[in-house]
Amino acid sequence: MHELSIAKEILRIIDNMQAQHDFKTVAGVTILAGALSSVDPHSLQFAFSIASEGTCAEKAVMHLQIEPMQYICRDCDNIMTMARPPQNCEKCQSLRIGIKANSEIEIVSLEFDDDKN
Amino acid sequence: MTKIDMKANVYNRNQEMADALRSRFTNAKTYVINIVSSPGSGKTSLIEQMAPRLMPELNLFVIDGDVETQCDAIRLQNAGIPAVQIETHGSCHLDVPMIEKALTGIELANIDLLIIENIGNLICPVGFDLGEHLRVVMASLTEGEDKPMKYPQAYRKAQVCVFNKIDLAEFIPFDMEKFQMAAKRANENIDFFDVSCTKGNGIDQWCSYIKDKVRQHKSIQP
Ligand SMILES: Nc1nc2c(ncn2[C@@H]2O[C@H](COP(=O)(O)OP(=O)(O)O)[C@@H](O)[C@H]2O)c(=O)[nH]1
Ligand SMILES: [Mg+2]
Ligand SMILES: [Zn+2]
Repeated sequence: MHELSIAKEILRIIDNMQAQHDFKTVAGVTILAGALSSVDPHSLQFAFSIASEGTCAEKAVMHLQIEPMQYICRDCDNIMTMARPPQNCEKCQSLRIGIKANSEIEIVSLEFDDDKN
Repeated sequence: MTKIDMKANVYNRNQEMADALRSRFTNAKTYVINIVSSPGSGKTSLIEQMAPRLMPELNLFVIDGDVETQCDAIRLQNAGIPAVQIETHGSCHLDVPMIEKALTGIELANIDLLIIENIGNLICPVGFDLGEHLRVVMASLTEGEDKPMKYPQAYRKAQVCVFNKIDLAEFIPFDMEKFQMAAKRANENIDFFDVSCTKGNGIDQWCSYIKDKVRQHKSIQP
């Protein structure tokens, strides 16, 4: 369950943003995860809902996008978007296939209410 | 309603802490390796095999991570290897603050080689840099050749793969070519060391690779 560590770090970053922008509640947070980030969407949503209790983000909706898996040909740099590794490059038939996807997790954007009362 | 674009990487903070810890290790001339594998690949067995070959020359220290129990650290201490245990009580990976806490009161300048045995798990520990200089992914013959296909990130983030339990090759079918090809697909530059921790095959070659790394590290001016 490394999703809990990820959820806590997202909340820490939101907390820093709150100090800068002085909003009261967060309505939505958009997350983009690489295909190799090993993020389980349900676990992350669940961890976020638990960890955000009592914070400005407790009512926030998490929009989570996971990038598709990609492979690259090491001979011609052709990028192939597919779930499973191809036997050979679709363009040049090379057998030297590498993984292209990344493992990063990014907070893309934050939506919050302007009402400061 | 206001929307702000952020592009904030969730791993940045861990990365900053890991880089700071790595500088601390480098300044103290302590070489650090982080061993990641599934449970039972033979991480503790490998350390048990390495210690008698390294300890005459090097000051070795081991941090052993497990979800529960002190078993592995006790196993190493009984073999005369200086070791501390981190019990994470549920957390599936080690992180930088846990390593810093485990090193409290320990004089890094007296340690040439620090080995971190991570929690047995090929997913969660992979994203957490611990400030190590070398990431080792361990695999074993009994796990099947498809593991680098199922957990490519574990291979991508490592520089070397120690492949254990080769003594079982005559009993268990294993497609070595397929295994290495899948590992290379994830990481073209990965090096392989084939070993048996029960019979001792390949351990000398592995240890001389590590000794060279430690020696190189000592000669670097921080
Ligand atoms: N046949 C065989 N068994 C091994 C070898 N290395 C370790 N084992 C066994 O595999 C099991 C798990 O080893 P351990 O070092 O505790 O794995 P860890 O969970 O990765 O620390 C133990 O029963 C070991 O005796 C090996 O090279 N060959
Ligand atoms: Mg162990
Ligand atoms: Zn090609």
